[in-house]
Amino acid sequence: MAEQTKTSEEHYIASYHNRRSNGGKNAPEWLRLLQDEAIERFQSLGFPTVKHEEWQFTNIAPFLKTALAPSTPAAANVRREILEEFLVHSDAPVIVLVDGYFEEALSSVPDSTGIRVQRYDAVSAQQPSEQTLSALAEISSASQKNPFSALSLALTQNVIMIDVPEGAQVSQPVHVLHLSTQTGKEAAMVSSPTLLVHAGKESSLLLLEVFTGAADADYGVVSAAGVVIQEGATVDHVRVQREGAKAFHFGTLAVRQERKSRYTAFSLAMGGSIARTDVTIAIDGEDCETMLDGLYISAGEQLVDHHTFIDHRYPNCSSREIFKGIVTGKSRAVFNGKIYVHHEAQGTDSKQTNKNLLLSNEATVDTKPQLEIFADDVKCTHGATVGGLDPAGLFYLKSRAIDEEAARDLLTLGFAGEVTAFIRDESIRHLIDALIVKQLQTMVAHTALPEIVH
Amino acid sequence: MNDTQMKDEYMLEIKNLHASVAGKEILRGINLTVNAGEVHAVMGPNGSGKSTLAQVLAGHPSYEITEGEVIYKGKNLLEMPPEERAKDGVFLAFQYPVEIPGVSNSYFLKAGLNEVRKYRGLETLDALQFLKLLKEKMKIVEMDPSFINRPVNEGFSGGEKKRNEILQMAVLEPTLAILDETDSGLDIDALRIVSEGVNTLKRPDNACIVVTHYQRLLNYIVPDFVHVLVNGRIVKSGGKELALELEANGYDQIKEAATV
Amino acid sequence: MNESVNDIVNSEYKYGFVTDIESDAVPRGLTEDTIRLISKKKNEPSFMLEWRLKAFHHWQTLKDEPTWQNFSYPPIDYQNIIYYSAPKKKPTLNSLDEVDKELLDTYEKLGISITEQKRMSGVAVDAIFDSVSVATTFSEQLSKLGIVFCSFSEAVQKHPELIKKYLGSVVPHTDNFFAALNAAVFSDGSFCFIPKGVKCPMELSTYFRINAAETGQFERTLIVAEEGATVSYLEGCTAPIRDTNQLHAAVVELIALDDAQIKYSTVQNWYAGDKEGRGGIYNFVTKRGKCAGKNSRISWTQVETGSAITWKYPSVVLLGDNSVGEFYSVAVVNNRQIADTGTKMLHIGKNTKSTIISKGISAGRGENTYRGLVKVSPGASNARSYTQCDSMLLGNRCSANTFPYIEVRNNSSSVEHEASTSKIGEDQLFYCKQRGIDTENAISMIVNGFAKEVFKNLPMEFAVEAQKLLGVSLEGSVG
Ligand SMILES: Nc1ncnc2c1ncn2[C@@H]1O[C@H](COP(=O)(O)OP(=O)(O)O)[C@@H](O)[C@H]1O
Ligand SMILES: [Mg+2]
Repeated sequence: MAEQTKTSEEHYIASYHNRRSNGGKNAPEWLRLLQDEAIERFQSLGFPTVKHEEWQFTNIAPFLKTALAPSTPAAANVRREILEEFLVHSDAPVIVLVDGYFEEALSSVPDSTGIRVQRYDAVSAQQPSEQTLSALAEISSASQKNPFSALSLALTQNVIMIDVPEGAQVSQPVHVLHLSTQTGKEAAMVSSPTLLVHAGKESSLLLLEVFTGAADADYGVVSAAGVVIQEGATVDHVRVQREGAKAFHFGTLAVRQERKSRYTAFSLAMGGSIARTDVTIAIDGEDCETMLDGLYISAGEQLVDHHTFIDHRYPNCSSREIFKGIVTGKSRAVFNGKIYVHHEAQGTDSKQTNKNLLLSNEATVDTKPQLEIFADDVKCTHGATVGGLDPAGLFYLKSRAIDEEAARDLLTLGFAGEVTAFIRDESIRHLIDALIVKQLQTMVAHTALPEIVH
Repeated sequence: MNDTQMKDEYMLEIKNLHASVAGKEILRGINLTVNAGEVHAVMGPNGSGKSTLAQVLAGHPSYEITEGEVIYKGKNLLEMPPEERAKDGVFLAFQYPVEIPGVSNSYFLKAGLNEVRKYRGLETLDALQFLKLLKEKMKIVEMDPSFINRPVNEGFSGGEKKRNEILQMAVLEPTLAILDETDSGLDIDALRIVSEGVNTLKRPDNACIVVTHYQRLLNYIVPDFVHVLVNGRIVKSGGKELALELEANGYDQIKEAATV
Repeated sequence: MNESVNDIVNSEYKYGFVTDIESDAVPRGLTEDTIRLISKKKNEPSFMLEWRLKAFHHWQTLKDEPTWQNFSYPPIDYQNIIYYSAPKKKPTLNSLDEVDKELLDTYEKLGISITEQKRMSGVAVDAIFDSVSVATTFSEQLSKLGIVFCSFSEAVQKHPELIKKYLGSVVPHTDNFFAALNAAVFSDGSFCFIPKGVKCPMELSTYFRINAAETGQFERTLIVAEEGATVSYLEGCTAPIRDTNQLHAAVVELIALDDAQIKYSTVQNWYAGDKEGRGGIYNFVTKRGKCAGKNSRISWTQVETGSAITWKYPSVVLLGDNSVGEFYSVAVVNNRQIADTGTKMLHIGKNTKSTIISKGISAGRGENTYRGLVKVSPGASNARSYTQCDSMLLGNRCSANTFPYIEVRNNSSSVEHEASTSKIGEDQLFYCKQRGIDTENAISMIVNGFAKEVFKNLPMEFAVEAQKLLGVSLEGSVG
C-alpha cells in the first residue's frame, strides 16, 4: 500500500531491516543470526505464484497487495473473557500471545502442569537450550522450500518454547492462544508467532493451539510451529484456526518424530480470507504412529488450503490421515496431501482420506492426494471424494418426517462429527464440537443445530 | 520317473524339526514318519503348531527352520523350493485358501497340473483335455461347473474354498497330501463329500496327513495313526482309538502330561 | 491377432530387428524449409502448409518442454532429428502387390499380415512404417458403407474438407510443446471417418513401426464418428533395438457426435531400452477425444509395456450432455523404464460420466506414475466420476506414484477417487508355488489377474497379446 514501487518481497525485507535497526537490535545474537539467515532465504525464494506447483490453486495476490507492517506490542488491554470460548476450563494452563507478543498478564502455567515454558525475544536475552534448537531446526528445514516459513522466522516477535521433560505426563491440556487485535488504523499488521515444542523421552503432552482475531480487521498471521517428539513420547495437538474474515493466515507446522513416538493432530480451519497451512511430519525412527486429521469449513469468498506431507523415512511406521471439508458460498478449498515412503521405510502402513462436501454451486474444491512410494513391502492407500449431500441419507431423514432444510443441516453436522470423533481428549472434543456447531450455525445451516454427539 | 524310488525308506521322515516364525519358536522337535498307503491324523489344541508344521512341509518362506531335517522320498525336502515340492507330489490343502483376483480357477489349475505332469515326464494337457479331466474331478467333490471360470477362491464361501482345495488335490494327484483343517467350516453334507473325495483318491502308493482338532472328521477318514501335537511337540501317538479318547477327555490331561 | 502374433512373445524384445530398406529422408534438423519440404513431398494443398507453418511458428516461441513431470531425461536436440523418412520404393498404391517385398516381410515378422491373401480376418489394418502409411487393407469394402479408413496423406488429398473441418479441433497446435511440434512436422498417420448411423463392422487397426535410425516419428490419427456411428480402433507399435533414444511424438484426435461411440485401444510395445536404460523410445504422445454430441461415448484402453519413457494422458472432453468417458490402463515398467501416464476427464455437459481404472506395475528400477485430472465445471450438473488406481510393486528398487488432481465446481456432482499401493501378495505367490507353478509364471499370473479389469476391455485378440506382453515385460524382475 505504502510504497508502490517496491515489490512485496522488498517491502517485507525493508520492514525486517527497519526493525533490526530499532528495537530488534537488542535481541540475543543467536536469534539475530537465525533471523538474518531466514530473511536471506526468504529473499532467495520470493513469494510463490500460481505457476508454482505447490501454489497452483492458491493465488496470494490479495495478500501481496496489502503490504502488512510487522506488529507492535498491543496498546489496548485484552480482557480475559474473550479467551474463555477457547478454554477447556477456566483455570487450564494457558499461554497467550497478543499480536505475536507474549502476554504475561493473561498467561498462567502453574508449575504443577509439569512443563517448562521459555520465551526468547529482545527483552529476555536468553541462550537457547538444546531442545529449543532442535525444535527450531524443524522450522528452518521447512523454510528451505516455503517462503512463508522463512518470513515467519525472520519477522517473529517472540519465540515460545514448551519443554516437556523426559517422562513427564502432562494431563492438563496446555492452551496456546494467538490473538490478533490490531485493527490497523494506519497500516494493517502482521504478526509472526513462533511456537516450539519439545517432548522428551516417554513424556506426553496435550496441546490446544488457537489462532483468532478481530472479526473484521485486515491483518495477517504468518506463524510457524516446530515440534520434536522424542522416543516413546506422545503429543496430542489440536489446532483451531478461526481468524477474522478478512485476515490472511499462513501457518507452518513442522514435526519430527523419533522412534516409537506418537503424534495425533487435529486441525480445525474456518477463518481467514486466505488461509494456508503447511504441515510436514518427518518420521525419523522406527515404530512411530502418526494421526493427522482435520476439518475445514469455508464460506463466502474464503480460500482454505492445506498442504500436508508425511515423510516415512524409517521402517514399520503407520500413518493415518483424514481431512474433511465443508465448502460453500463462493469459497475455494484446496487439499494437497502427500505421503512419501522412502526406500528404507519397509513395512509402512499408511492411509489417507480427503472427503469434501460441496454445498454450493459457486464453490470449488481442488484436491490432490499423492502417494510417492519407493519401498515395496508397504500398504498405502488414499481416497478422495467431492460431492453434495448423500441423497440416500437425505431421503432417509425425510422419510422420518424431517424436512429438507433440517435434514441437510443434520447430515452436514454429522459429516463434521465423523472426524472430530478422532480427537482423543474428551474435553477438547467437546470444545471443538461446540466451535463447529457455532460456525456452521452462522455460515451454513438454515435451522437450529443440535449438539454433535459421538 | 522315480524308478530309484526308495524301497525300505519311509516316504516322509521328520527328524527333530524345530521351526520359528518372527523370532518365536513354534515347532520344538517334531519326529514323525509316514509310509506309503498310510493316513496320519495330527490333532491338538489351537495354536499348538499344526498349521506351522503343514506350512513348513510345503515350504512357506515365513518360517525359519532352526534345527532338524525332513527326508521325503529319500531327498532333503527342506532344500527344495516350494514349487519343486509340489511338482514332486507334496500337496497342501490350506487352512485358509488364498484368493487370486482376476485369475480363473481353471487357468490356475491347468498351469499347476501341466507343471506337475512335465516333472513326472507326462505330456502336458491342452485346454480341451484339461477341461474334460476337470469336469470329471469336479463330480467327485460335487462342485458346480460354474466355478471353473471364477477367479481362484474369490468370493467363495468357506465351504466352497475347502471343496476347491480337494478338487485341486484330485486333479494334481499328490503323493503326500496334507490337509490342514479341511473339515472346519463345513456342514455335515460338505464334510461327507470332502471326506469321500479324499477316500476316493486314496491309493497304496500315496499317503495323507490330516490335520484337525475335531474327532468328527475321523469318522469319515479313518486314520492309521493319530498324533497329538501340543506346544510344538508330538506328545502322544497311537491308533485311531486315541482320537476317541481325546474327544472324551479333551486335551487337558495330555497337556498336563506333556508339561511334567 | 493372427497366429504369428501368438507366438511372438516368449523372450526379450523380439521386434528389435532392423529392416534393410532404402529410405527417402529429409535432411536432419528443423527449419521452416524442412516443413515446406515435407509438405511438398506429400504434395499437400496449401491450407495444410499454412497450418503446419502456424504451428511451427508457435513452437518456436515455446522455449522449453514442460517441466512438471516426475522424471527428467537428457535434453533432446531437435536439430539432430530426421523429421521425415519414408521407404523409397513407396509408390502411390494401387494394389498391395506393389508394396516392397521387404516391407511386407517386416510386417509378417511382426505378426501383422497386410497382404491380400493372408489378411487377418475381420481387422482392417493401416500400417505406418517410419513416417508414412504403407498399406491400408479393407479400404474398399469399408468404403461401400461410406467409411473412410486410409492414411492421413491420402485423406488430405481425397477428403480435404473433412480434414479442414476436424484437424486440430480437439488438440490445437497451441496445446503443448509436443503437439505444436507434431502439427508442424507430422508425416502421416491414419484417418478414419464413420458416417452417420454406421456401425463399423470390423476392428480398424493401425500398426506403427519405427525403422530408420535417428528419425523421430510424428504421426497423427484423426477419428470422426458422426451421429449414431460406432467404431473400435486398435493401435500397436514396435521399433528396432537401437542404443540411442528416438522420439515418438504423436497426436491422436477423436470426435464423437451425438450418440456416437469410439473405442480406442493401444498396445504399446516400443523398444524400452536395455537393462541399463540405454536406448529406447521416448513416447511423448497427446491423445484426446471430444464427446461433442449428447449421449456420446469415448473409451480409451491402453496397455503400456514398452518405451524408455512413456508420457501421455489420453483424455476426454465431455461436452455433450449424458456423454461418457472411460480410461482403462495397464502400465508396466521394468529395468530403467519410466511411465508418467493417466488421463484427464473434463466434465462440461450435464449428466456426464467418467470411469478411470488404472493398474500400475513397477519392477526393476522402473518408475511408474499415475497422473490424472478430473475436472467438473459449474455447468456439469449431476456429473459422476469414479477413479480406481492400484499399483503393485515387484522388488524394492522401483517406485510407484499416484498424483490425482480433482477440481470440482458443481455441487450436484460426485467425484470419487481411490488408490492403493502394495507389494505383490506373498501368500498368493506361495499358493501358486504350492500348486507347482514356478515363481516367474506365478508372478505373471498374479499380475495378469491384477490387470484383468483393464484387459477385459480390449478386443479378444489384443487381450491375448497384451497378457503375453505383460509376462515378457516382467521377465527377470524377480530373483
Ligand atoms: N506369522 C506368524 N507370526 C507370529 N506368530 C505366528 C505366525 N504364524 C503362527 N504364529 C503363532 O504360532 C502358533 C502356532 O500357530 P499354528 O501353527 O497356526 O497353530 P494351529 O494350526 O495348531 O492352531 C500360534 O501361537 C500362532 O499365533
Ligand atoms: Mg491351524
